Amino acid sequence: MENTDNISYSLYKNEAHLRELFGASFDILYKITDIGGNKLMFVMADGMCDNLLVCEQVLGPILASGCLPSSPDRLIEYISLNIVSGLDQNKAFTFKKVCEDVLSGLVCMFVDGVDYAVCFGVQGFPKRNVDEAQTEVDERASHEAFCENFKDNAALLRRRIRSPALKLELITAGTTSKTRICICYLEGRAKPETIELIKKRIESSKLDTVFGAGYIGEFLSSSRFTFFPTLGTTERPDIAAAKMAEGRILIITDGTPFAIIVPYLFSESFQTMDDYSFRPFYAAITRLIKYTAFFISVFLPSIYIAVCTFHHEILPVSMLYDIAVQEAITPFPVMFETMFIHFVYEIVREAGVRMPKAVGNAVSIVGALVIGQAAVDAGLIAAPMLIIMALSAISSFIVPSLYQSVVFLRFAFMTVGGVFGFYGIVIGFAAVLINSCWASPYGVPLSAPVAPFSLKAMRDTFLRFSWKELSKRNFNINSMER
Amino acid sequence: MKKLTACVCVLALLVSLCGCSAKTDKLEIKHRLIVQGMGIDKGENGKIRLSVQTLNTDVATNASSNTTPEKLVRCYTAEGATLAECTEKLTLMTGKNPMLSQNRIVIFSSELAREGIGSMLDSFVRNNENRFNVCAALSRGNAQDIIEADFGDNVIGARLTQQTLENAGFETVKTKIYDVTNCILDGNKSAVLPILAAGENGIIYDGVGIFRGDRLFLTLAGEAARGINLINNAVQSGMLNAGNVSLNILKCRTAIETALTQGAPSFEIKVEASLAVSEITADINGKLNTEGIVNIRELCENTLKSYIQNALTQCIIEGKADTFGFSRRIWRRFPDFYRNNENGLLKNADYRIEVKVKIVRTGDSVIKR
Amino acid sequence: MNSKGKISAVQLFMLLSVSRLLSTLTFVPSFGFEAGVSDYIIATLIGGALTWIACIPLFIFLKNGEGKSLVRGNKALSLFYCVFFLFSTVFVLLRLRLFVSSVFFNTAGNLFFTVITVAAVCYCASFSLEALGRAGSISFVLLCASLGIIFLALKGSLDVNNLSPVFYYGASPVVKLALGVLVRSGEPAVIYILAPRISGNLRKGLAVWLSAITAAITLCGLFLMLSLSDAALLQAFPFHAMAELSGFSVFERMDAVFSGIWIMSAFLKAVLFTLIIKELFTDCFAGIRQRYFLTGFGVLVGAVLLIAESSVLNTAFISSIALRGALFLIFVLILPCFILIKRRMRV
Repeated sequence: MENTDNISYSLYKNEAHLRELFGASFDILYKITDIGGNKLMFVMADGMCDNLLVCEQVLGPILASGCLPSSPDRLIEYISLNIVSGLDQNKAFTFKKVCEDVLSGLVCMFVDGVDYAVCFGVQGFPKRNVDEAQTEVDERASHEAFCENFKDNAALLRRRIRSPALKLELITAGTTSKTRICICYLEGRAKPETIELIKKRIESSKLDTVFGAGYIGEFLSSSRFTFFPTLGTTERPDIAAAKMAEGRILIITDGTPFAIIVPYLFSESFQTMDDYSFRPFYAAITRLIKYTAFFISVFLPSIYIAVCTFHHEILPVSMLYDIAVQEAITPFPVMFETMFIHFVYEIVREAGVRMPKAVGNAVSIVGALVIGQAAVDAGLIAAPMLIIMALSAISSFIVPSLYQSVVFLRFAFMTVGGVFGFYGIVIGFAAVLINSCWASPYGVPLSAPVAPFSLKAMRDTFLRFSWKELSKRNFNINSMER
Repeated sequence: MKKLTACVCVLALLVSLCGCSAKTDKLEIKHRLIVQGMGIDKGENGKIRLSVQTLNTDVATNASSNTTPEKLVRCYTAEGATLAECTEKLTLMTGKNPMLSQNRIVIFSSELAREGIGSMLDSFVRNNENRFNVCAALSRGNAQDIIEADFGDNVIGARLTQQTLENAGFETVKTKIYDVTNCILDGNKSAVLPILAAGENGIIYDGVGIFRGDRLFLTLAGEAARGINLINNAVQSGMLNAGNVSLNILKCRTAIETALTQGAPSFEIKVEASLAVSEITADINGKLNTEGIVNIRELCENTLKSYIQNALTQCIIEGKADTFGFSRRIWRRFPDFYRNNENGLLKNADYRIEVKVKIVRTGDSVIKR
Repeated sequence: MNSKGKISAVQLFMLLSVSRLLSTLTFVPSFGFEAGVSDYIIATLIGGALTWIACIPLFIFLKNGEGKSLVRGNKALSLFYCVFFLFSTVFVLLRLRLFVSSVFFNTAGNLFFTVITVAAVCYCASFSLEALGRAGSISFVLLCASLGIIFLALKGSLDVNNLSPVFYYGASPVVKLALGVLVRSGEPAVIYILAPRISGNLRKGLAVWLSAITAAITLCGLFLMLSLSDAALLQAFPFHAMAELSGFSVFERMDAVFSGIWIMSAFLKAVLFTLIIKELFTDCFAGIRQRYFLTGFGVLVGAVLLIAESSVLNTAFISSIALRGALFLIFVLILPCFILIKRRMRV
């Protein structure tokens, strides 16, 4: 039940109101005490507060203090300013604010005769510590990753950018969950219009609950369907800090260990922190490998289908012969074979992700050995098909942020290649290209800096120039806005 | 609801259009007959006989994945009025659609070539599968014999023949179908094709065939190819045997200057070659000094000159066949003269040959007294 | 046209280069007169010079046009130009269909090609000009790279002897060929319509583009004739035949890759014309939603294509130089001159 009533002067009325609001919840604790002739009430959510902090910073000093003002107004001020040692304090004038604070792990203090409460920050809810990155693994870069608590995440950012220009603004989303969303940016580099646009989109989302970044992600991304994501995500604070330094805006959702980055470029999916730790020539090689792997993972199965079904002349004769002999044994058309084996692979992969870790390894071994090799031995699929599938599957893991797009496009192109051949693949590629060139939800096109072309940005797109070159002029994403 | 309707429509479209594109275009590899070599002979009753050498991709369906077919190649023959009809008959014969795009070589029988091959070239120009940069050759006897020649279980005869023609240096001529087409369209230039014959141990290179238009009218011995290749600037490598010395041809470039001298065309043929001594079959104590190198160089120049002279004599003077494009050179440089003297253009032509040879290397061993 | 997003002059001319190079690469030598191979090359240069002259009204328009479109919201003019671009779209798709059926699917039905192509064109035309401009710049780079690779691969098989004497068959064939080159240049009409949507110096860009594209087309023609000689003129698509020859090392069948790039370029050209029609039409009839227009347009183009593809004679009629010449004359020369003179007289 939402309650926007103002806090009353009467402590008992306030208590009654709160008990009515929270009902029979066992974890909401009330303590009424008498200090210097004034009645005080403390309200907290058990499990959300650190009980030791409550005793040492709030209750203990208050109860142990000697001379206290007798007037309720002066008493509450005195306690707030001189008794309680914590810096995290705020005044609440409505029951709505009190509920939010209590449910966020603050302890609220009411004084009989005062029409507001003071809330002290003594959070101590259970949370996960800063851990290693799971999806963005790098060799030489930092191994820290974001966690679920947005304050810890903010601290991780502060450690990396010790500048007052780093602004962390808090808004809430979700009418019931009231999830905290932290918008982080570097003042002077991020575009104020973009910041306002982000706030507006989040606030107009009208979601009831927000339990993950993905909930608000759809409101922040492009209005029309795009094949590639127009929002970046990262679980690494070092990448997040680097993006902010380029003028981007970070959105951290409380409860999600991933931050959303806007604006986002397609070429950023191929950049990792290791690129900036390794030497430039090696970084260039790994970047080119990633781009090649991306194209292999999307197009190789479809090209194989198109070539085996329509365009046999493309293959060199020795390869053609080997494939022809292998395919002669299999009962199914090439397109069906390809779709089937890729579908089975996705089943195995998904099972591997969902299974408990102890069993996960067994699933991958069973999937790879039993299904793959046995299918070839039984003559259900051809050996070249297995190689194609394995290569495209492994290639898709090189760029994890594009995995969803890669899977979708792979199946789409396989269908198009099997029905319309190479012609369909080319038309499909053109359609995807135009769609990607169109996407620019925050004014910066997804296809930048390739199209529209930016020579300056090319220093860090396909290749990575040395830091001596990169440091000559700082890059700002908003310079590519069209 | 709208998106669902759209998805259903797209799926229905894909399923229905599968049929529209499924005709002969959507044939799996296993339903194709991979042609590696084509032989065209004269058939009965004015028809042509097409022989094809194909890759054998048939294996038993219940075999394991390690099974390979017993024989690598299979040959088929079909008769018809046109090449397209012959190809269609192959489909009826084998149950597979011939794939002509992997064809390596086309061999015309000499008998057929004497009557003209122009009508058959249309298939190579018009059919998008038939590539027009495929090698062409003639057969001394039946082209079918060459196509069906057995090189061994794991050897693709057509590919071996094509590679032999391509890698034989300047001993054979290498002609593609579009070269033949260009010669026919030119009207003056004569196409030159290598002549092959089936021997006991494989294919024998048996000379060159000179065409007038699209008809074979002259055959020359194999050595004529050397002079033809030299004049046509088609020598990239090879072995030159001059006396008791064998030399590798590292580089060879021919430039021809065309001029009109006293109302008659004159051609100055300049050949520059870089050679490396490969072997000297002489007394082991023979010395290779400066004088020796000069002698070898002069010997090479004279040898190359003799090749060119023989080719000019056999082709143009005796054979009256312009295998070198001299007429076209006159046409380009002196169109008015060409227009007024179209017949007998090269009747009074003068040829000057200049050969410059450089001995670049003498090999690993230098034996001096 | 409404004030909407703009593209840069560089992006526009990259798109137009794709369009113009495409016309060259899918050139079908079907003239009923004899001409030497060198005559084609000379005709390209003369055709380029004629295009320069034909663009004089365009230069004047760009100088005095105040950044506005030639049609300036005039419904009749807009619809008139819609007809021109409709024809251009049909022609491009017809030529694309001919190319694809020659290279890939020579017995496939017309319906399958028409449906997928028109659907894809309409889908892509629903995006903005900026998206097309960006995609066009990528396509331009790929197209240039494909041509560069072809030229490099062919450098060993070029023979000056393959050329013919210039004007051997007289000046008439050269002039006819040059006029053929001229009427294929529908690109000036694009600039007349899209002028307000372009940022940058259009006049300078146009001058550079005209020179560069003439040089590029001449170079393409030169390589074609030097490598293939008279055999080139027997092929339906001589440049594709040239690409077939351009293999090196183990990469023997590169023509499939090049064909793919050319198909994509042709597709983008069709999208450009469709997008212009969409913009012109929706500007005139503001109440019509883009989605409905594109659906109707797709059905119309599909129907026209199916009729045109149904017989070789229909295809020949639509592709005829006479028809294209008449349209060029009206929409690129006469109409713009008339409008410019009329506006000048009003002033």
